[in-house]
Amino acid sequence: MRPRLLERLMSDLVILSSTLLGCFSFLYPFFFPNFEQTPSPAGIRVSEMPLTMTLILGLCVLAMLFESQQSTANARFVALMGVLVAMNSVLRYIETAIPGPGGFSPIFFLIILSGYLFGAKFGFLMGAMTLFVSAILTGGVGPWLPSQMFTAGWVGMSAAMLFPITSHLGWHGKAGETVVLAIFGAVWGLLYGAIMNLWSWPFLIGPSDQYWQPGISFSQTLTRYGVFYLVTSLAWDLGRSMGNVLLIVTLAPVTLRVLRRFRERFTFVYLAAEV
Amino acid sequence: MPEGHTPAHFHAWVWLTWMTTILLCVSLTRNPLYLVVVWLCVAIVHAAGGMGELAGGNAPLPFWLSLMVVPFGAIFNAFTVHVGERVIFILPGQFPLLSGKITWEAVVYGATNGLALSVILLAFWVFNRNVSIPSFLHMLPRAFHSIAIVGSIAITFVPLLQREVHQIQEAQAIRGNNLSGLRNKLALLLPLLVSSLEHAFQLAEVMTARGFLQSSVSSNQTVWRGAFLGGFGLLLGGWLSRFWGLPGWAANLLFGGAMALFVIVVLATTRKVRYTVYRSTPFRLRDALAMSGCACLLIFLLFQSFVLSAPRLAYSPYPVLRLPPFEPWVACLLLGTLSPWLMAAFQKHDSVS
Repeated sequence: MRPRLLERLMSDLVILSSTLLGCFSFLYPFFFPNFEQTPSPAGIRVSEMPLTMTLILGLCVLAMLFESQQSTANARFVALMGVLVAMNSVLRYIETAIPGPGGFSPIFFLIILSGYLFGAKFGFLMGAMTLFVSAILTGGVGPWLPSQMFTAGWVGMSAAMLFPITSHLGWHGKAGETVVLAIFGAVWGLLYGAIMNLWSWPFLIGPSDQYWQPGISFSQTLTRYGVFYLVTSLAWDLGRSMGNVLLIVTLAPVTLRVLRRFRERFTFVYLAAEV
Repeated sequence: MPEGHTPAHFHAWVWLTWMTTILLCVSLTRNPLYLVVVWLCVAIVHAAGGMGELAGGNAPLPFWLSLMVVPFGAIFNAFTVHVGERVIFILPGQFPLLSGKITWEAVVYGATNGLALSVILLAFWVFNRNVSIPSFLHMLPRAFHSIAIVGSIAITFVPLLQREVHQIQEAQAIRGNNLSGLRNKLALLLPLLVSSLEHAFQLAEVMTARGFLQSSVSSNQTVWRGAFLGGFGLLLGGWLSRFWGLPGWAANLLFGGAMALFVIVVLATTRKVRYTVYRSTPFRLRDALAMSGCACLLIFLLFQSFVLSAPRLAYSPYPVLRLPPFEPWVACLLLGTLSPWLMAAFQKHDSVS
């Protein structure tokens, strides 16, 4: 029993560490105001930052994928994920060809439901793999891919936290479940954009009340980012947020019923009776 | 020789090295003169076309689209950032964001950033055109075989999904069901979801019957998880040491250590995974030669930036615009990104003569 407990603990630690390090690499402007941005011999460090962020996020994604694939060490889950990722990739392909209003994207619907029903590791893989496969299909491989994979993975991973809540409240299969998922989708619609903005925000130059500058305090950084987000991204992200709510309210109850039925079949194990 | 792989094509690893080199160049320099050299190299490789498994010629649209980013960046930056000494003109009035002095520094800074973005866009277009999906998946280390199989299933399942959608649409049309409107789309989505999951179930049975994953479950999970945790500690240490003003070599050492730990875990796990190669793509001398030009540049960039910590490639037009430094030998090294085009040109010349 003890080795299994240790393995579980180590697994959780790997996930927690890579998540925290990923958060840290996105949020560093808030905590390190003295970071040099002025052009000087130290200016070389500024130009290194996107590369360093890509490296750290890439390694975090690598560790998370490595850890999460242990949960799919089963032919059924590999096949299930392959099919769900294919469906999501087609949705993204359609979205690329026919863009929706604002930042609307249909991919988060299945990522949220998968994470909610099949667990955090499955949800992370679903989010990360959807972005990876759809990037290959649409020719969208780029330096932005690790951060997109990581953030979409977080969407799926965090959706798993809702399951115990709805279970505790006895809301499975009821309207309350849809409401919780819709609120979650709305929040992530905005949060996804806010996190992805952080990728480039410290390197942009613009009006001093919206952009980051070295030496400003935590509260100033927060205020400036808030203003920047309101001015440049809120309207765009609201499209994604509203789209998530619409899709979840309309399609989630029936889709959840189907996924639950197949989850029973995919996790079915035959144990031979002892003779 | 595998289908679709002719002697004129380069191995996917060549393109990956080429892509990595370009990204590193763009990440390390904002010197517009060096960026112009890199942009020209990428544009030549793009214009040449016909060097990859998917190559069917050069498309002009991405070329022009990527080029448009440069003036857009310059104009946007000039009208939104009013910093600099060399004033072109002053925009009067109280227009939010726009009013104020328009400076040459802001124009050059915006154009340089646009140029860097243009290089990235064009280079990724070349990469996506030259590396086929199977080759891309084949480059994944065997330690990630589950992920690669998920990717393969997803990619091969896409055409099946399209066929399925058409069949369902036809069946619903025969029944007189209207599929317009979001709620009516359930009549399409649900049968599609159910039939896809049925396919997944059948596929899983076939995979299980053929012994999928029976031999590849890692036995040293505690060890590699420990190595990952150690790697995270080193990454955090390297990251913090950058902000706390420790010497650059200390941070690079910690980053290097973290990368080494991750690579060791991946390689050790890769060795334990048994696999069968159905279509091998040979790595030939010409691939090695094409890769070597990029590799030399890559080593130079890594060495001078992370070992010497030399600001040789650094440049900023702020606070006063001045001519960017230009060292011809650095520009010559940047021409290493032309190596796939050069090798292809030599090969073409040989085959003609």
